[in-house]
Amino acid sequence: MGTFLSQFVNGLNQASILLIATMGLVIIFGYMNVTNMAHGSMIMLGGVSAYILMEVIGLPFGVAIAGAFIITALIGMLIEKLLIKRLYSKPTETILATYAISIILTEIVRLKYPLSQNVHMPLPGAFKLGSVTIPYYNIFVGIFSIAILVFTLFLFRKTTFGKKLGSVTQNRTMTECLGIKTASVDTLTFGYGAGLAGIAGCVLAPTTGVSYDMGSTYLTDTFMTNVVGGIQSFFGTAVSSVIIGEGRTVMAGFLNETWAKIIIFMIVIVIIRLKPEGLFTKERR
Amino acid sequence: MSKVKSSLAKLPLNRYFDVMMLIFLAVFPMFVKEFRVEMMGRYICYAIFALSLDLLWGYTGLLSLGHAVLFGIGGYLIGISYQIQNGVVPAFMQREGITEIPWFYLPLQNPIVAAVLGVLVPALFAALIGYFAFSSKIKGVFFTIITLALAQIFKDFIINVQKYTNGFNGLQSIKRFAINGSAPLSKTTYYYIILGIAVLVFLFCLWLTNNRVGKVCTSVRENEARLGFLGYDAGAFKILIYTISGAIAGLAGVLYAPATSTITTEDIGVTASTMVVIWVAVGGRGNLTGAVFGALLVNWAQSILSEHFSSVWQLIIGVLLLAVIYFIPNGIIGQLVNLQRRFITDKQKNKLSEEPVQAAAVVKATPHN
Amino acid sequence: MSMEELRSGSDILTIRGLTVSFSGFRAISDVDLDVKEGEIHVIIGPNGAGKSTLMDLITGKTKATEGDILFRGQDITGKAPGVIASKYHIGRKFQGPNVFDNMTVYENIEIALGGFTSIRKAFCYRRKAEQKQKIEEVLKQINLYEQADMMASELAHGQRQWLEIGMVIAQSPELIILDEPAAGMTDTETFKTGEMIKELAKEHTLIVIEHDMEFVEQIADYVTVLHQGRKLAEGPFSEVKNNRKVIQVYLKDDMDEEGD
Repeated sequence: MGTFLSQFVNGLNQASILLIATMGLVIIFGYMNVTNMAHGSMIMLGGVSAYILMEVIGLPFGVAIAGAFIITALIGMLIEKLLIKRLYSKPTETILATYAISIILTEIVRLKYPLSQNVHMPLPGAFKLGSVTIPYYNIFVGIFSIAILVFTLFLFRKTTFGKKLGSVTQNRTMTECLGIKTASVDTLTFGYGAGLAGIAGCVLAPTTGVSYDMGSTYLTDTFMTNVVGGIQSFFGTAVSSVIIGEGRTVMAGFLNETWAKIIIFMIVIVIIRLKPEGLFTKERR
Repeated sequence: MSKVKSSLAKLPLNRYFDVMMLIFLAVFPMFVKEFRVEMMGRYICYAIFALSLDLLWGYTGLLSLGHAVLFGIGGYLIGISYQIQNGVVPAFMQREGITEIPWFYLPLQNPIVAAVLGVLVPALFAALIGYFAFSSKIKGVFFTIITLALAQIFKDFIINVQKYTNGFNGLQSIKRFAINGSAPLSKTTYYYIILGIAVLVFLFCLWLTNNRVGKVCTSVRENEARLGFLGYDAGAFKILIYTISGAIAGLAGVLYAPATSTITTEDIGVTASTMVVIWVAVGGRGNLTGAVFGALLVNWAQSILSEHFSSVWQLIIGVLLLAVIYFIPNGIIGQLVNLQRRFITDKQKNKLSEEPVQAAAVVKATPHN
Repeated sequence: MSMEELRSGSDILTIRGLTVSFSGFRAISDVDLDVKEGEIHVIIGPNGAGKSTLMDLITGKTKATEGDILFRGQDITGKAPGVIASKYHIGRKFQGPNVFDNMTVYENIEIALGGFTSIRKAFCYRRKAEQKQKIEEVLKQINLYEQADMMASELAHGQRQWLEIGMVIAQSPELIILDEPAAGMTDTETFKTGEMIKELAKEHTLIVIEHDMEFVEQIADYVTVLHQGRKLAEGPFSEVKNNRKVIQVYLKDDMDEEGD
């Protein structure tokens, strides 16, 4: 029971980070229909930004979060403008191109930082609840991820930008006729999605450190979370983040990390076979 | 005679390429040192591996980013066979306290059985994954994600079950099919065996893709939804092609491990899977020749260049992939075949436009909506 | 009323009370439709009237919320697209060319012929004289005999539309649904398409969605007008053309569109 509870607390941390990163994918993959294989690299870049801002320059954690968001969002927008834009109607080429980008980004970072780098814990300490130790940082990450979820929902449902985005994803040509610049909406949206991945990487950094190869694991994790939750569903993503993040961490406590991954992988492909639209779907035409 | 000549002229360019490559590979051992022969033998294994991906990706449009898993299963099965010859428990198992060969390894003592399993197991594994991944409603890209996750997990798995696989270190001293205590095949003999099998695999792929099965697979790539409306069970064809592809990838692995005498986790993970995608992309997907040519070319380039650029080699690979996508999306061979085709159809069109039928077209002034 | 009597014969397709809604929006509401054996039944209506949705419902691409679709008296509501295509022989040509681009014209027709829909059949299939003859026949019907070896992507737009029609014919459907077969064609091509359709009607029943009134007049035996998901009017073209409700809706919407 002790193992279960403490792993459960750790799992919430995993789930929260997965949620932030996967929200970026809901936007990029779900709404924009871009299979962005460089999403994992955006998480990695967020982590690297956190390292540079906090450890090299010495800025506080809050600034690092904002910085990670801005840096990855800008890189994301640049990639969208230069490379992905030309491939919007070619899904296979998009996969390959973004995959190539992820290789390039990973390798550039590897040349600079071949070893894993530590980022200090901005919120040290923990409190005890019975036999379980709950780090303050985990609580912060949990609340923070929910705040981001609420903010993103607000952005997409209530603001004019969100409405524009909705109309662009539903009927591109029609929206163009109405005089909305779909191209800049695409770029900004992609940037926001990439920025979320950057935040996830930044928040992740103090717990796991930063290494050039952290992107590829998170790439598949976020995609699986996204598809299980329903590719256009923010709410579903929240639920599947908890299922996958918790499932993996709790199981890792009893077996080991590899077997936990294998079991989660098997569960995911069974779920997708049974519910190809994901657990939560938006009804679409 | 003139008929033969004209049908030869219509033959796609890549078929000439095939013959040239075969002649080159057949005479290659006569002119080079033995270690080069060994090296080229390895590349031919890669070419077989590339063919398996071409069936799946080039012809059917299903991009696997974890194809090295299937290759690796084949390689590991034959590799294990040579760790447990004559009932000897290998050192890496003894270190973990295993005193007897585990029951599930016993059949592998016979290298022939191991080789056959090395083809069948990956095929079955692919069929199983395919069954889950190719239900009608699942987006095609998800297959790519699943296979990528598979590659990551499989590598972790092999490392994790160290007592059975020697983990990170991989398996060494895999003999070139020494059977019942006989001496292993010579490097040159083994080279020609690999080449012979490669030719058979190539001919099989050629037959398959020109067969109805291949045509349906091509239609899956072109327009899967349309195929469904025509009453085809696209899912079944996808599972079939993935299974066949798995068998061929496994076969490539079975041939590869003895050719280099080792198989390690480097040969099975995401990086290895990415490499095969690159070979096919560079050579050109969907025409078989491109896969073989790409595998030989990229590996040859790697053998020369990676010594000088070993630290940035992966970076070069990434940039190369990006360049191929934007500048020669059909790959080298694909681009050449397209040029030839355009040349032929231009000729045909010229012939057609001399007839009066085409001239009648009048463009509507205002299309009524 | 007299028109009803003119339209004798049994129904190939009977639709009753068909309704479908997407997140509360009723794209088709309470539509009844009778398609008689052997007729060319044209469905017209302004943009967003639900014409394509109606076809999606018939071919099983979309599931109905309410109502029944009967094919010669058999209920086909909610059946899978593959079943409707192969078991009930309803073939559909989609809006815009939807062919297998990087395959030859011949291969396109052969795939559509469906001699190898399952893996077992695909391995055993041999192209017999019978199939060859059928393919050639279809190629001639759609004016693409000369282009048999060309890639579908190399065809002109109109020819690609014909190839689509050819693929539908190859399935030997009893009911053919054509979604804007003449869209984007030149006048000559449109006229040829019309003649092609009339030729087809000798052996098949057709439902055609169309915008172009001249074209409708050329081919239609019977016309149904949809508006905002409901049936507005039906009858022979000459009658529908003069229907006041139709003129009002159709012309009004038409002008709106041009105002964009």
